[in-house]
Amino acid sequence: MSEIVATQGLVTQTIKFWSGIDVPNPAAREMAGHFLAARNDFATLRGKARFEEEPASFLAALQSCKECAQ
Amino acid sequence: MTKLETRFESLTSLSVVEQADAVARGDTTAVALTEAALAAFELQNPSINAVIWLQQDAALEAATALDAMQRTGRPLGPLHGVPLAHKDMYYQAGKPCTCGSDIRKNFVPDYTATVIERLHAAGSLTLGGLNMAEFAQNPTGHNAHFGDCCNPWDLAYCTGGSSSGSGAAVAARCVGASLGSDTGGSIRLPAALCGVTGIKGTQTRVSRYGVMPLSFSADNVGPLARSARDCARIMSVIAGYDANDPTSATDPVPDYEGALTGDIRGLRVGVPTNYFFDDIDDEVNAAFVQAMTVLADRGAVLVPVTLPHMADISAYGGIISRCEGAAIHGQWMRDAPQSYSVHLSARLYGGNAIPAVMYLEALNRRGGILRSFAHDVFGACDVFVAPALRTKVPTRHETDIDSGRDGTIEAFMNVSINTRPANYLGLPSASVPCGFDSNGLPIGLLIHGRPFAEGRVLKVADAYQRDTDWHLRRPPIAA
Repeated sequence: MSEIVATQGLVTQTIKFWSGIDVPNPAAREMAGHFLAARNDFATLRGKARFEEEPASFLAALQSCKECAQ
Repeated sequence: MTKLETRFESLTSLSVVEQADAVARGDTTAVALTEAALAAFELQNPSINAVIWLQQDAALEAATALDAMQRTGRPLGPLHGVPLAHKDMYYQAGKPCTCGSDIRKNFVPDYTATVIERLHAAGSLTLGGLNMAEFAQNPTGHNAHFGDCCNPWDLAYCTGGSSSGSGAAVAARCVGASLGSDTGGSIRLPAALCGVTGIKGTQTRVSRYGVMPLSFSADNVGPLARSARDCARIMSVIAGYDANDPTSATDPVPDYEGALTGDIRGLRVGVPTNYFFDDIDDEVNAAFVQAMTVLADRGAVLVPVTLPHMADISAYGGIISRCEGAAIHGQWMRDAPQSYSVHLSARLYGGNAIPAVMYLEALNRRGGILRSFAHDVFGACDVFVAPALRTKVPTRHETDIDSGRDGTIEAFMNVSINTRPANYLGLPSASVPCGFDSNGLPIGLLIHGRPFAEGRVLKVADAYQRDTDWHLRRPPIAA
């Protein structure tokens, strides 16, 4: 629980610092605590995710995955 | 009025294709169809709350003009005389466009969305704007400003969102079809929860010019209708390159409707072995298994497929629309945060905290993940399928996160867990009705194809609907 509260504090301060937006309501503060789980999801991906160093385009990928392109 | 007059009921029962064909044959008129649709809205809307605004006089005027055109003997468009109503986020010059919000309650755009222009050029007319999640940002159909849209099968249950009014109006036999939009499931969820058919195309397949943006990387325009055939006809009208939307694909648009042969013999249908069935409800799973039997009996070959990268897709897919939504709404969130509903301001707010590095990583890896996914999955199957929801349809009460009750946030977030992957991957994906749960609410089946394989997705959906009648069933209020 304390970790969630700490996350809420970190998230709300970050948003205030960068975006100038105050916590609009208690639900927003509660959902800010959910970033702990989201952060953990990303943490499990570390080391598995490879950044594409060559120029990449999602739209080009859509085209390259068409049936006629196989 | 407690029941629709027989003369109207016989018209609102027709599918979009049947309506257009009847007008073309001279068996009915655009005016008669429009009067029937307006009568159906008058009867059903007090219960389902699917409408934000209607333009009765303008619609009847447009219908009169379409009938005059029909009498000249000139060639008619594929939707000639068909009345439609759309999610209230499609711009039409001089018409209201609330986007389901208080912030835009008085917004009147001065230009028209390309998809609306194409629908009108094909002969359809627009009755008005339908209820939706505020700024298209929830998967349940709650709306604090215009009232929740209610599921025609049981008013206590969610319609699904964000195209809530579209799902409810089509299910309640008010209109034959409606444009929705889909950024994380917003076409396919109301289709599934309301027992109608809906499809989002490949990312870039349909122009988004003149459409309220939620997430410029993941927004899609598409129809909700009674059947795959109706969806095919509408997709054939709205898909294709638009110079006003430079992100739209230049690929020619195939004859989606002509490809609906019912022949899926030998077609490989992938059944995922991971992700989509985690904690699946028994009744939902039983309906899915039965649907697989139907496809197999038609000659499809069921193949198990393990979907790669699902942890990445889930993590990355969850942040793109949140970051982009936060960017789009940043100034309104600073100036008028009280103008948003509780749950939307909470969701938008959090998007501001996601580091740009994570957002850029999600975008950078999107193409590579798609290529790898397509290689592994579509090397093994032609389409893959999944339940639209892992649970039975939830009630509006248990997903009402504005209430602040424990568990509502989790229930709310779980609604779109099976629809979101197709948005990150940009894949075409349809939802078709495949049964009912013990509460009497519909169950949806997702059909996904490789990029630009909308035709194949619709073909499988149509083949399934040739052997089932789930899509023909009516909710009690429209029986």
